[in-house]
Amino acid sequence: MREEERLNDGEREAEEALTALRPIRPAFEVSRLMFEAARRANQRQVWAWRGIAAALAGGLVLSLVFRSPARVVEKPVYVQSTPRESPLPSPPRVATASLLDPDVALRGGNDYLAVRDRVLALGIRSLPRAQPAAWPVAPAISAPIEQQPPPTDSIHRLFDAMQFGGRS
Amino acid sequence: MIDPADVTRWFEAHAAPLVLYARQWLAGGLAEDAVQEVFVRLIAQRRPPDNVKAWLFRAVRNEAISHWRSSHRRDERERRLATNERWFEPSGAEPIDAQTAAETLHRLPHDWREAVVLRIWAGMTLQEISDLTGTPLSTVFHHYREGLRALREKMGVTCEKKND
Repeated sequence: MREEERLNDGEREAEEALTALRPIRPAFEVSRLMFEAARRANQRQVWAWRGIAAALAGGLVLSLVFRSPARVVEKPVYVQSTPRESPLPSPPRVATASLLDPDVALRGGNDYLAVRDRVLALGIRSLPRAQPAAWPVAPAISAPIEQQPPPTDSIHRLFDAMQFGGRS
Repeated sequence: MIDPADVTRWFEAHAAPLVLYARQWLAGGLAEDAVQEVFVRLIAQRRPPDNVKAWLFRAVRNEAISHWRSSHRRDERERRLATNERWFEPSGAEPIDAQTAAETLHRLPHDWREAVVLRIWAGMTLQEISDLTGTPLSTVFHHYREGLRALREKMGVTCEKKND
């Protein structure tokens, strides 16, 4: 049975009277709905990108926190050495290298270079001793004076030198 | 995204009955907010539902009930004041007074009022109302018939005067 057939005349009359009423239209328009929908879609997109960025940042932080220590792997590496040509001239050798050489320091001889090397290497004490001056030396006395004969020749020459001022 | 032309067609056909339906739970601008929210959700769908009308009324019902449950204590005073708000267009050519019909309708039990609103202004069959509300068909018919009878009794004098 159709639902309309189960209504009596009075109910059907009331139904028709109520149908004549028109509900009030909403205050908003379709354009507002479309604008709101577009705004929310953009907002969702922004949040989606923010979520992706947050996930990447979180993954990066976790990887930094929980990363395993670096593993050292030892491998033999064979390098073929090639003579390298230096573009700059080699610095001049300093004398200290040769001065520390014991062969140079102990080189014999009394020439200037040998003495210089020894002084620089061993100090001032390595200088050779100075030769005594060439003064006249008295003859060595080998016997007591009482037992020796008087040096007549020497006495005479000394006496002459004192008396005559060495003019003889 | 759904075609804007389809959205415009659905809006023109169902927006006003949807707002009237939402007023069964929400007062003032809250009913319009619920309907707007549902339409925005519809636009965001990848493809339109199979039965757009049923989808819209079901979504508005869920939205309105959810909002009413969360704030009905706070809005109790507002709901009492909302009995004076306009539900129908006052054109003057109707056989019954729009404000009287709204006030009488507002005083009906909720189940009766829901059945009358969906049957008369949403143009739904009793079977569609049964599917929407989850109420047996015989119960829906009983609610609808009792609603019509109460409206007729409470506005009978006005109807007779207008019909004369």
